[in-house]
Amino acid sequence: MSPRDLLAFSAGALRGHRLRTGLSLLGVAIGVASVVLLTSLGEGARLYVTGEFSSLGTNLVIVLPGKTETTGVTPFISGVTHDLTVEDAEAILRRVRPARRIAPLAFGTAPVRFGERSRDVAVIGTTADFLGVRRIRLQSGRYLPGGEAARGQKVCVIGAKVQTELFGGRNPLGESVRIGPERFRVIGVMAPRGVSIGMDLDDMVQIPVTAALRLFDQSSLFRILVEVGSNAEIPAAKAAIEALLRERHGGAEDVTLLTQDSVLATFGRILGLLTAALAGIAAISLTVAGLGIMNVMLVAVSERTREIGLLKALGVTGRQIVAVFLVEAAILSTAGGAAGLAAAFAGAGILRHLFPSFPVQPPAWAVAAAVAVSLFVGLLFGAMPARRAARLDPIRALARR
Amino acid sequence: MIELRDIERDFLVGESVVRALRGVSLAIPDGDYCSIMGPSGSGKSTLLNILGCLDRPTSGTYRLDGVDVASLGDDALSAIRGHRIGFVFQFYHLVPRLTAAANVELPMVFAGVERRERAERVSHALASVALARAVVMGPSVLLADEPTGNLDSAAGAEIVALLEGMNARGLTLIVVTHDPDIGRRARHRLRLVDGAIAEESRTASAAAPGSRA
Repeated sequence: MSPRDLLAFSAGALRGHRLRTGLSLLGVAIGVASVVLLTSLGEGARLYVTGEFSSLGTNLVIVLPGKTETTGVTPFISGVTHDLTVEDAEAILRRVRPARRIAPLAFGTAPVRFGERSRDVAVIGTTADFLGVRRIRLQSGRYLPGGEAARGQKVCVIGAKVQTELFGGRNPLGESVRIGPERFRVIGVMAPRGVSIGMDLDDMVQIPVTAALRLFDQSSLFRILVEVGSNAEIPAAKAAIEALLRERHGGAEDVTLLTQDSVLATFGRILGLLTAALAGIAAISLTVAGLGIMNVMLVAVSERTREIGLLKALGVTGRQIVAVFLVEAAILSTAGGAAGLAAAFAGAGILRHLFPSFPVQPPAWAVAAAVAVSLFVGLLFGAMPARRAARLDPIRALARR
Repeated sequence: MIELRDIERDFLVGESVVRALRGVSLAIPDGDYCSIMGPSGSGKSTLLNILGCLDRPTSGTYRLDGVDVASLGDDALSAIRGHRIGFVFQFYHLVPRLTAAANVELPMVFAGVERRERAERVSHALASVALARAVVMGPSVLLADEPTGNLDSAAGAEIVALLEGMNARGLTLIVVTHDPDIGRRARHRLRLVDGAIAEESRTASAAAPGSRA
């Protein structure tokens, strides 16, 4: 029997039951499409987050007060946690050579009031370099002034949302707002930016760092951002910052250093896991599709019992009967797989069109795996009904009415 | 040559054993025409199934052309069923989703016969389908235009036999043919030349057209 004849015979049998064939094709197609689409969503999320982080600057070392890890240092030395101060930040800029720019950060929430309107917003206390480190763009006015003398000035830069909420259409530049108990003059408005890594910069007010520490009555900085010249200088900068702060804090290792790399790696791991989980869910639907194929083939075998008996009486061998049913299963799964891939690519295209910033790209490995698995599942679940068909006793099969 | 010796076939029905065949021995030489009769349940079908290699005897030997069928494996039995034995089933067992031609083609497809040869052999069988279609409404006149034109002599003889069988049952049969051998078989023969009957002859026959069967 030539392969062409075998294919024609099996395809003819499938055409004989259009609805059943169509439904099981649909099952496989949905399975394959969900594998490909869900993994490309996971991959898209990973790429999106990675992209967001690198837009924030990858040459960043973040200094946090306090040590989050347990270390072997004896409690006599590390018993006292020192504050992270503006002076620490200045020392880093002065003495750590790779450090290009630093931005000390103080953080708090306060009611901001203009005339009758008041709004609770996050207040960031920082210096002029924050503009460059965080890649902030201004809509109007200017940013916080540089220099030591300016750190206590009562000026502020407001986010786009704060401007619309408090000032409506009015020009806020030069106006005076009340932040907590103190008055600050508005000198700049940030361009709208949207939520970026959990921070809504549009709904924030930025003031000089010393003014912020005074306002919130804090002694320690929330964080120090240190920007180095290039990614390659990060390890050296980390070591130098650690050494410097240990020296300044009397030998205590009481700060935590984060780099974008480590944050990125963590996110990469989490999102990789997410992709794997999505792929797992999708694999379940592919397995269900395989069961669908098995069901269709079992129904086909019992419905075509007489045909199988006839074939045996005509001298068709058991192997040929197995081949007929396996080819039917293979046709179902490959055709379904192809339809599923087409649907997945179309769906990814639509998503890309709707959310241009979200890179939905079906990963090659997922495409290959989905096709391979659907074919494998088809053959696996087709094998049992095919063997059952081949074992039928021709007389009993023919006697079935 | 078919030889059966002491063939027994037992079926297990529930707890009890039913003997369908009890020691059947017989020889059927090649070219024989043999009928098997008997009341229902007498084992006719069981015997036919064993002869057709669809069933195996419980005991006894079945030799087909000198080969003991019991010694053959599944594939060899399939080959015998495919090439040596033709089986017309009580309910025909035509595959409903296939055309008449495809049903005829089916065993050739699985035996790996070339497409071209298949088409040729199927066309023979289609002659009988065409004949069946022509008479299914019970007409009284049957016209046949070159009925053997596309067939080899053996297949042509089969079709002629079928047509003459219809005629014997009272159908008026009119055949156009080139073949003088077939033309000669008719009782009433016409020869046309230039649009006119040039010659007409009759064979006086005892079997004059009778009443339709």
